[in-house]
Amino acid sequence: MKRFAAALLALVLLATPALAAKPKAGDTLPDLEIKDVLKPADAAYLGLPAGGKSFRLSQIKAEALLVNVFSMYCPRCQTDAPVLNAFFERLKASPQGQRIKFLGIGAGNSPYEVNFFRSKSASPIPMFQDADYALHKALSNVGTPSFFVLKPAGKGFRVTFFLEGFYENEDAFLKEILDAAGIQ
Amino acid sequence: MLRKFPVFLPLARMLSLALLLTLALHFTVQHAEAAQPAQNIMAAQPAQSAHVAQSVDLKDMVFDPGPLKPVDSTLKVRPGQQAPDFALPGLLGENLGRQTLRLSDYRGKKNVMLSFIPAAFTPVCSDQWPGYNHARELFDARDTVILGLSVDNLPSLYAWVREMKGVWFPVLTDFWPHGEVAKTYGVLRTNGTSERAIVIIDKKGVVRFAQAFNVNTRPDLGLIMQELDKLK
Repeated sequence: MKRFAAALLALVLLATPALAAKPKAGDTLPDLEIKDVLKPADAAYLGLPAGGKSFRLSQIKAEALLVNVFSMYCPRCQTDAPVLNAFFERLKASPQGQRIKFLGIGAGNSPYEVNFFRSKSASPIPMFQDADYALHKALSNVGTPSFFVLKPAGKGFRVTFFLEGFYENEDAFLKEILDAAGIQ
Repeated sequence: MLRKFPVFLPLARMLSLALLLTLALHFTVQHAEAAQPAQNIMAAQPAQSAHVAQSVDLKDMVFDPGPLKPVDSTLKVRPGQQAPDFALPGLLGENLGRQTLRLSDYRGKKNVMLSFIPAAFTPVCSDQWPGYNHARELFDARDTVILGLSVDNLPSLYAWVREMKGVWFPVLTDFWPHGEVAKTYGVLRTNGTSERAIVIIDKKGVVRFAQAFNVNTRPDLGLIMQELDKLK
């Protein structure tokens, strides 16, 4: 009976769009595993051993993470890539640049698609594949682009900032994410 | 059985009521737990019917048909055979001008990738083709033109392609006789839409690759490029 009730509940939850809430500050997240080969420059920036084939978010040397969920297939991600590249360099060079680390997750993108997107936009941002949407599902199936600030909490992370869409004012965005990261 | 033994009727009714009450209780308790403010976002997965990370540009502009049977037809073309020729009206160029195109017009000039998509204004299709815009240089480098095929009619395709801010390749309508080309290639689904299929045809008009992919998700661009590289 319990199993049946649980199955019924799962069905109801799956079928009810109103319950498909977007992420918000305060949500928790497990320590996600990124299954992708680490390029030397990305490994150096993230403080991870180069050549590794996977890593967990908790292994990144930082007090907070800025995660951009993007897709090669998303027109906004394509057109705004140069702006985001410049923002990455700005964040990295800022006094907080070593305390918050920025990475991209290519929702539903194969390694080929991520590499093509990255090379076409000459992006310095570490970007990782998510061909099976495993990370995208864990991140509540958000639209692209989306931005999360994550802070370590217990065995996982706590969302302290979420934005679906692209920011309008870079200065305001920077301030918001540093505030959310608690490293202003 | 109940008709034969009317005495069981009240018992059956009571059992049904008890079942309903138990279900309601389970639901109420578990639902209340699920609605706690400290929500674990892993535990509250929304329905992801079509596996796509929707671009915010298309938010509320596409219809989600829900999860579909991955493949619902049997391919009728095989690598090595001559691609069945066809002529279809379509939209071409920045102005989306109406023009009838024939597959054999590309013979000796360009490799052709037929990209069959199930339906205009749906999540995965609206993701796939703008991606081919971004990746145009990869197709150009392989001397390949895409022909987009859909069983939607021309006005719908026109509106949809405008919504996507245009595509660089011709978009052909296989609307009438309904899905005739899709049927010939073996990619017409039982509900009248087509598969999410890719057919690669070389400059001699020979099929070199044909596959109906899971309709709920995109074919990997890496796989497409790998197949196009074999034509060199």
